[in-house]
Amino acid sequence: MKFRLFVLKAKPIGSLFLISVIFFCSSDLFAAEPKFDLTNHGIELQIAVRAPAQVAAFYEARGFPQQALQRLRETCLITFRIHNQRKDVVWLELENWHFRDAKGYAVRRLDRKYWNALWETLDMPLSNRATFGWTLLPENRDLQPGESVGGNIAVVAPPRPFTLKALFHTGARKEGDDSLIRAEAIICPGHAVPNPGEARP
Amino acid sequence: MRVIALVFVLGILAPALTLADLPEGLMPLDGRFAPPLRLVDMDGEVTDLRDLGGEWVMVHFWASWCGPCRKELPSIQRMAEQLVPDTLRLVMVNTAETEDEVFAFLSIVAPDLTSLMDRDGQVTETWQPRGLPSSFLVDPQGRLRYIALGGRPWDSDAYLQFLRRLTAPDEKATD
Repeated sequence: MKFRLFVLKAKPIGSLFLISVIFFCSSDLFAAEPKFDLTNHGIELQIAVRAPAQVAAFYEARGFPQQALQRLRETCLITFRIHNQRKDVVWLELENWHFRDAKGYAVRRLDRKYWNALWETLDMPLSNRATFGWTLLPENRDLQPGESVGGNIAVVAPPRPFTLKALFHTGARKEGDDSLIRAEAIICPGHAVPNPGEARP
Repeated sequence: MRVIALVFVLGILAPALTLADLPEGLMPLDGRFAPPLRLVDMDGEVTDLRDLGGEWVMVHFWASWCGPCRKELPSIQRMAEQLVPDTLRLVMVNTAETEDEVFAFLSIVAPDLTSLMDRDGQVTETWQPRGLPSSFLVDPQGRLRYIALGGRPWDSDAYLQFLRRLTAPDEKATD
């Protein structure tokens, strides 16, 4: 317990959008995570990419079946927290988020439909499906002033660094200026194959 | 006559608590009826939201893996010490975890609170909170009146005063 609290204090950014206590139980794994903290026009976007072992440990502790854990290990789970620091509404709409590799090819995001279909195939218990669902970032959310939202996005792990362009509409009727946040050189730990001499962030 | 009737209706519906009275992070809802909620707690005791009609109820959804829940639950416990059950009813709903997980967590974080068990997560799914944690305030007629955006300091003066005003017998906290 003391160890967990120590880690939380030592990592204030991570603690704000703590998806899992277990994620923080291994300081070695957490220290290795690529992290980003980006702000544009009052929209704060925090990103932490999870290692396959972290992902599996969290869901294994929640009683997920081995088949499901294996599928989760094979994907790249990225934890996001978005904080609306503006005085108007910010629209989180994942259809306006685009992951691309260095050559411009789309990095496939695995959405709720994908997971629901997979869990159906694996006949996963409803409790596990519910837990997984609540750990995903919502597809859509009208973020009120001061509101935060956190959760995971799963992508098919690319072997090379990739980029996220996240577009946000603003205003109650989306009448405000759009805001674009760009995160460069995201790497999926445990999946990436670094080029010789290539520096990691 | 129609004008008098309209004025009368507007007077009845006029909110006694305005947006300006709301503590930060609380959002009004449209007053639709709350979805069904009938669950057992860790001791097998059944709670049905319908049986709590006539009282204001705070329905709180949480899970032990959720960091903001860990931060918020102690403040809910402190609020409950002051307001529950005389002023407000508290219905805590754990989403899709086991008794062992809930017991181990609550006994450390908020030992005086008890929780209903939404074992398969389907009740939570029906309520569609804006994430975990999430708190709804349900009025004595069973209508959804407010939702808290994420974890909130329920034991702060602003929230305690708001809840006391909201639940005061002569308060018309309707939209």
